[in-house]
Amino acid sequence: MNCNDVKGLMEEYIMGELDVNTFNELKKHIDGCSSCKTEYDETKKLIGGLKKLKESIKIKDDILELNKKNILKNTKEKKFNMKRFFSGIAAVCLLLCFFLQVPLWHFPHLHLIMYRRESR
Amino acid sequence: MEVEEEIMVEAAKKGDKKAFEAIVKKYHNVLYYTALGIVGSGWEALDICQETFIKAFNSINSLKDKSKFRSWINRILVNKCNDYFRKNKNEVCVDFIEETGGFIEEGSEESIDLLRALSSLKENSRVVLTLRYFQDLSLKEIAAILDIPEGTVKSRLSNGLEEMRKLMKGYKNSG
Repeated sequence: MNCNDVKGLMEEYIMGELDVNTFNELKKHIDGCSSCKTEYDETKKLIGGLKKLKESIKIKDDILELNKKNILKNTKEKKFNMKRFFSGIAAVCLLLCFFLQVPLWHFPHLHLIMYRRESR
Repeated sequence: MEVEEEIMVEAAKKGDKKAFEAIVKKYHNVLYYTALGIVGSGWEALDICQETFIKAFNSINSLKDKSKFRSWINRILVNKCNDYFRKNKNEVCVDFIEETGGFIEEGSEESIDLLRALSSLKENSRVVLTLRYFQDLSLKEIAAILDIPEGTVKSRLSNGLEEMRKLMKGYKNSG
């Protein structure tokens, strides 16, 4: 493993996401290479700082609370979707028409029987 | 993801307001800090965070797999940040500290420097670094959120970290 390989895997090494063999190879290289060791120390410190940033920089609680309240206020009622409502009604009507027509397609003589009954 | 959270998401999908409130409470601060890391402005991050939740609330029924809620809401957040960048591409970037002055209650000098360095990075690297270290997301999750290969996530992380190391050294040397 050379210095370029180490650079490519450094982040995952620090985050503890490498398999045992690769981890050990990297560790061996870093322990014996001063420039990679320096880069490792600096990067580790940087990642540690970024991970702690949420705790180390505290945003005023009242601002965050007010924002949460605004979100909940703005999402209080789901918008009534007119388009979806009328599309649903139209779909139901179409289905009803379809199912009422089916017996007449399959049994055309029903038309005749109904007509005769009506004419009597 | 915890089972409890999946139940919350399922309830929110059925229109349960209390469940959505619980989701807001759980994710608000982490999404706010993520937006802050990406756009580098306290006020804008508040708006982006708000828009993200409203969008999530209105389209939660489109979420098929409730176990992917975290990735899903983060994708909405990143899209909102991209909208912000598109709308403000011609605007001059204001110094991070000046812009967030009224927001910060406490913060060490080093932390402020870190935020300043982060906000100086290119957008691509900034998004990846923020998702990775502010939310502890895996490379795979970030790749899925941004719809890019895992290799690209790794290279953006590596470039971003290198750039930040240089910037931090510069801040240290200058005073």
